[in-house]
Amino acid sequence: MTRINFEFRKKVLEEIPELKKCFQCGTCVSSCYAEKYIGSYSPRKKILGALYGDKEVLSKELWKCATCNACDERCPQGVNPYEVLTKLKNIAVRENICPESFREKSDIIIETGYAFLIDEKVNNNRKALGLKEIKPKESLRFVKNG
Amino acid sequence: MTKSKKSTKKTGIKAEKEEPRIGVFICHCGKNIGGVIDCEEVTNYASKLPNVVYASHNFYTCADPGQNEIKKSIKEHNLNRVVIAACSPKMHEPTFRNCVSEAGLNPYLMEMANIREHDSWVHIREKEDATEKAKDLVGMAVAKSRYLKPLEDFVVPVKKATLVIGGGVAGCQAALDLADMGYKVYLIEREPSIGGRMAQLDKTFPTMDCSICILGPKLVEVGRHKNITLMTNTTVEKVDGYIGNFKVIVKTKPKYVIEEKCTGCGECVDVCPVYVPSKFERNLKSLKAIHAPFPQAVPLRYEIDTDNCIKCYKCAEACGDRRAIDFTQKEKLTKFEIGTIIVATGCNSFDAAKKQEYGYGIYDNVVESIEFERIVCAGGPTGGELLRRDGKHAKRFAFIQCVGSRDVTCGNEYCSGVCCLNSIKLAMLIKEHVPDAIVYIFYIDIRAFSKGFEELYTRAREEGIIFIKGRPSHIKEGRDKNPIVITENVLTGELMEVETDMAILAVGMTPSETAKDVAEKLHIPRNTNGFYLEAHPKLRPVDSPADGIYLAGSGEFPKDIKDSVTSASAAASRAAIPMNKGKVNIEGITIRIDIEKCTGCGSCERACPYGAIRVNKNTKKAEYTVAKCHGCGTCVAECPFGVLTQNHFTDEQIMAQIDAALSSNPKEKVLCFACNWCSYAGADLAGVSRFQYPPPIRIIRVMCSGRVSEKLVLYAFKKGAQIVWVTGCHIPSDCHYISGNVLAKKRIERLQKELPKKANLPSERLKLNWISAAEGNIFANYVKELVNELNAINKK
Ligand SMILES: Cc1cc2nc3c(=O)[nH]c(=O)nc-3n(C[C@H](O)[C@H](O)[C@H](O)COP(=O)(O)OP(=O)(O)OC[C@H]3O[C@@H](n4cnc5c(N)ncnc54)[C@H](O)[C@@H]3O)c2cc1C
Ligand code: SF4
Ligand code: SF4
Ligand code: SF4
Ligand code: SF4
Repeated sequence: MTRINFEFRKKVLEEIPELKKCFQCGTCVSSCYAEKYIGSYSPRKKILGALYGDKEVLSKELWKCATCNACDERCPQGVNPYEVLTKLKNIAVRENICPESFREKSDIIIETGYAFLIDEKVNNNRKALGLKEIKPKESLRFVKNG
Repeated sequence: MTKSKKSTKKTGIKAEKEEPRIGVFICHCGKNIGGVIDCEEVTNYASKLPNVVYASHNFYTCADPGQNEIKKSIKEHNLNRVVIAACSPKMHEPTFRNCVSEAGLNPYLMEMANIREHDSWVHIREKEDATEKAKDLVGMAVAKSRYLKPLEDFVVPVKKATLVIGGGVAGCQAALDLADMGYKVYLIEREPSIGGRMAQLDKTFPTMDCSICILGPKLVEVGRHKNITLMTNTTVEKVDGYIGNFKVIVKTKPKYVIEEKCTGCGECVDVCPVYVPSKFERNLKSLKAIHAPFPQAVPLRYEIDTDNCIKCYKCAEACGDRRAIDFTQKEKLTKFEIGTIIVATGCNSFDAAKKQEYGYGIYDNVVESIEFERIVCAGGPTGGELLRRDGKHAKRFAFIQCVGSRDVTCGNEYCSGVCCLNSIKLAMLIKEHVPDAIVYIFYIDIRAFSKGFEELYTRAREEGIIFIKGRPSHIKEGRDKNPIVITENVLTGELMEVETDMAILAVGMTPSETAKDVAEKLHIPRNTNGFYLEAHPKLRPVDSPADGIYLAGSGEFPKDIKDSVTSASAAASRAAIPMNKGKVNIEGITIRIDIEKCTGCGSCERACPYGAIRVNKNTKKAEYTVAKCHGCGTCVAECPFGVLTQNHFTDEQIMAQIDAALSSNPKEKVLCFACNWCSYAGADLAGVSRFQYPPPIRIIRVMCSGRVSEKLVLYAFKKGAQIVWVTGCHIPSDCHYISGNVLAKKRIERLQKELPKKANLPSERLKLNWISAAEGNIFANYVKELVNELNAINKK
């Protein structure tokens, strides 16, 4: 049975008021590349869930969005679902329900300034391919602040 | 009419020269006023005010004995001004104006003080304060009355003829109604034939009548009616004047065929070697360069498409002795004078190519609904066969709803109201033609709200039409150029890719592309979507805000045929009212121009929503058309050179009210300007509802918030007001005068910024709020807040 969680609904709507414009037409869903290639990903249902204050919308499925912007382009109500989803991700991170892999990646970037680190694993792979070893790079942290 | 003479035949003119002799009449209104306010004390107070020669109080002033006393006193005391302190002027001003004029006094020499709605009813428990306030309110009315001038209403004669612009079903209906009432009608139509959109439809929902069969006889009647002059290929060139007396010039494009001589035999068509696409058939069929628009066209006359004609003159040869073909024809201007105008320029269908994702104009087998209407029509380009562009019979169809409606990406957030039913109708027609056809309708919501609509929707489901809730995101083209519709099925939450033989885009309705031009020429406003604006959305739905101009059909908003015809008959009967009376009355609350001082700066012209005041390009002076003026006074407040005066709300009169309001303890008062239609009425409602608020507020009534000039506000501050509060109708669209509040907002917000410089006061002392006539509680709450603020200021 659908129950509306008014408390969470209020919180979400304060942060993402454009949610209220959605009239559940589904245009975003058939525009969505994540839905097409990964499956069972519906911006519309995420929005509906958010409107009902369902905390389930913050689950890790949220991160399937391919950030392609197709839904923003076509949504007839100016909801900008892509941006809504991004804002939901922000809420999710704050509530600490971000998938581990995203968390790790962002930690690395914050820590080192690199998206990919050269570590033993990389060098092992290189060795197997007959490529020469490369030295792990220094952290770029000082560059970040400079 | 630019300078109307003020008639002096009625009494009261002498009052201008004579010393004012004011009579004040205080009403108890039973216990309504008398139960709170000490009327005797107020009467004593009034009798001591300068120029007051008589003051009395009465149990019920509006009743016969009360009115008789006023009339008697006017005679006995030779009164030339009357002040009545009673209920709201919105209640009884007409009653008392009538009363004093029966005693021989000009009705505009009467002023009311609202001591009931604005005093006794809202300060029930503060009897002393209420009595003090009543003295102020009476003092303000007396002060204003000293400067009152006798005014005359203007009488404008009305010509008994109408111009109808647009010959769709609405224009034709309005023309026929008025012509049947005996009025002369000029019906102009931009296209070569009349009938508009309806002539292109195959069947009409919800009844599934043959469209041209029901419309045809009406069109023929229009063509034949002795009171109707029908001009096709014709548009409005220029409109001057005002209700009752419009001067119109229309322009007729040549057809190169002399209408009176053409017999409609069509022999020219047989010999013409040039083919052109048919606009009526949406380019799905071709015509010769010389043609009639379509076989049932009214008038059935031929014309030459000179853009494509190669000037071989074979047609002229074939026409022979009939000599109907005339290549020398020129554009023709026709002038006439009329009393009223009906605007019936209708709708266009949304341009489907603007929604590229559906591939209209790119994919062969994506069509829009008017095109498809021609395809199913037995008289259409395919003879009613459901053929694709490649000549194959289509069997699988998909309708996409809301194309160009309910869609902010193309600026049309509204529902067009007809396309749901239209698609259902077309789907049923498909089933009639091809019983085993597969028909899908992809929709967001099905809107079937009118008589017979829901029943048709039910029948469509019974016929096996497949309704899928979901707005397709796009269409792609598959093998054999088959459109594939891609959508979410919102009810199952699954994606669908539906291959069809033909996809039909249910385009919405947009205003005619001529609406902008027509609106500018007639000085009538449009809404943000470009539809004509009505004078009041509920109570005056077919009047434009400009007097004498009425709206018929779908140019005001998308309508189906029934609603278009209903509004057309309504517009015709509204237009008949002034024509039947033969005259209109215009209130004396008009403008005076001190023409010497006018610099021709054009501020007034920009302010006036009705085009009533304009700068003459040659003389560089303002010119005023009293019959167009609605008396808002916005131009007066905008004029930087003090050239303009609003009769009955002159600066002199309002400043006298300010003086009186602030004559004692000015620091303890909030001075409020309230517009007659919204905020003053909101304050009245606070009274009627007995919403209590603190007494230190003094309200001055103006017709429009646009009248409140910088000069008046600064004067109030100079006289010691601590807070000046300007109120009006809600922004942007509630203003009784279209846009006075918008100008008020600009002006007051600018003045707020400049207040420290101009009055040495912080900006917050000048307030601006919008209060509707229904917001009595909001009015009361604002007053409470303002009085708290006032007390805080005074404590400092
Ligand atoms: C696809 C579609 C299908 C529809 N199907 C149905 C249906 O089945 N049943 C139903 O009830 N309704 C239907 N409608 C609605 C119906 O078409 C309208 O209600 C009706 O046509 C409105 O009539 P009108 O006179 O207001 O406007 P129009 O029919 O648009 O007529 C306006 C006329 O004014 C002329 N004009 C415009 N500007 C000027 C100018 N400046 N000077 C001179 N002339 C001018 C135009 O050329 C036109 O002839 C449908 C609408 C659409 C778009
Ligand atoms: S496209 Fe826009 S309006 Fe439609 S369901 Fe998605 S977010 Fe809601
Ligand atoms: S003159 Fe023009 S209209 Fe006439 S027959 Fe030739 S091409 Fe056709
Ligand atoms: S009538 Fe139906 S198809 Fe047309 S705009 Fe409204 S909801 Fe959409
Ligand atoms: S702005 Fe108002 S008062 Fe001035 S001319 Fe126009 S309608 Fe009349």
